[in-house]
Amino acid sequence: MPDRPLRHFRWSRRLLALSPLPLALLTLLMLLAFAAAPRAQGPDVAAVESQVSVGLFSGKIIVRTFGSTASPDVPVRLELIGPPREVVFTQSVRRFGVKVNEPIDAAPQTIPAIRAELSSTERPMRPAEGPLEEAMIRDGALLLLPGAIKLEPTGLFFAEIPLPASAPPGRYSILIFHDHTGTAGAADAEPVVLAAETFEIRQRGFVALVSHGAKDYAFLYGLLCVLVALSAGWFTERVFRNRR
Amino acid sequence: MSMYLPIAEMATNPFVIVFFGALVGAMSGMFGVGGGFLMAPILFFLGIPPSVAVSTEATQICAASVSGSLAHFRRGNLDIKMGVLLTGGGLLGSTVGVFVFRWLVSTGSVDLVIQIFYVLFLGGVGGMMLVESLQAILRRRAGKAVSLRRRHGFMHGLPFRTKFPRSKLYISALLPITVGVGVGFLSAIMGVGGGFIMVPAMIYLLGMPTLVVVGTSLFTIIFVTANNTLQHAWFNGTVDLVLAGLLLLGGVIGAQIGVRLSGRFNAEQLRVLLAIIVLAVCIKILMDLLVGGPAVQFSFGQGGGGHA
Repeated sequence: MPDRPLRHFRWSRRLLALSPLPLALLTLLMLLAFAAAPRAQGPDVAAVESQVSVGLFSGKIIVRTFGSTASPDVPVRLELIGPPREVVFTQSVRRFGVKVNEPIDAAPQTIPAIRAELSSTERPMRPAEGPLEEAMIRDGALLLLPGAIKLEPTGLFFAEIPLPASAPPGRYSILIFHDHTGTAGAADAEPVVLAAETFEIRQRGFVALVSHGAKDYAFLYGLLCVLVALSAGWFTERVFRNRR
Repeated sequence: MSMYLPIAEMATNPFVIVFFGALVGAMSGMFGVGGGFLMAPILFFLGIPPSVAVSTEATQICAASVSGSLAHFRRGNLDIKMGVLLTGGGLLGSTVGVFVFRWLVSTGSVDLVIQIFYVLFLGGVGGMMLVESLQAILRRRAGKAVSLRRRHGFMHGLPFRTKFPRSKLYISALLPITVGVGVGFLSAIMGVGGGFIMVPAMIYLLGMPTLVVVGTSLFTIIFVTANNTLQHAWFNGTVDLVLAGLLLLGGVIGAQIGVRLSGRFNAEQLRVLLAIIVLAVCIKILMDLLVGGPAVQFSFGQGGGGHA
């Protein structure tokens, strides 16, 4: 059991390839954390980066986390919860002989835009809870990834959370805990939390400029869009004319 | 490679977007329609949120219409007087359409209404065009002159008769305004420029010469789509400049291809082609209505549609 969960998290997000610098930093942090903690007990530690930024040429978002647990025999689980979004669930119903998508509830619900559950065992994770979750899994808004956490016999663990490119900007929270499912008397045991942290996905550069501009100066932004369209059309016609 | 769309809040393959932009651009170069009725389903299919797709494609249609109508203006195939009246009606109609759209959203039946509108208009226009152009081709083969019959109907008795020298017409000014109102209304509800409705309306209802129709229709679409772009950006914040840039790039490339291709067909053959494409989209939407998608779906944001 963890006597004091340390919170030295460091999340990292990069385009597909591992980038060496943050990894080296993470390793260094890990070593420091190990050095600082009493070796005999084996502390519960994890390392995360607090901010992830999305630029114009960003692809898939991969969030990496390292950690160490005092009880390597117990499987580790991780839950990631994205920023809240309004969602409308619709179902296909037959009306006057045609199929129509109708909202299940008139009012939109607020749910996390994305959710991920990872475990260190290959055992399949829970089944989808009803048709709503099935729809979310199909569209990649709910990720169930058994075996995605690599847990070493020494207690070190490592996980990559592959977020879809559509993961929206905002604050994400992560919970890492011991998974006692399947062990005797675990049914009503509270999950033992190893670490609870948050990180943020932010837009940077041109992407941030456009998305803030569109919100803060909506009218000017609209005029700019019209101007871009008009000049693109004019330019096309010029190219045409000269080609003839 | 992927590119992040700031307003859609997602990454996408830019080459795919440019490719489809070029495809639709080529179509608009060939047929004189904006291509919105095609672009909207394509963007939905690529996973762009409907509200962003509908608002952003307006910029591409606007650009395509500017280059198209400029080219027609240079050749003298643009009836500016007719275009201004159509535009006036169009802006009026789209304002009414926006209110009706919001009302439909509040009743929850907006998706069904949009799909039925699409099936009716694409089916009707596509079928009419197909029959008419096939007949024209047959008549041409038989060696007869191709001419449009001009019927004398109630519409010629309307007041405010005006001369339209370019179109060689002397009709009531109320007619183009009414057509404009209808097209603007449908364009707001269906989220398209309205070219595929306006072109047949101008030929069959107003009796305009085909040569002038395409340029004048594109001229009107410039203002309707520019208005749509501004309104969407201002009130809904759903215009994605990066997505627009990719679509415009594709459109520039496609328009060139379109004009080259159009030189290889005559007007009737072009109309048969357009009719077949319109009917294909109509059948696709009809199939969706009859068969349906997965039982339960969900969408973030304002829910389906988000037009206007």
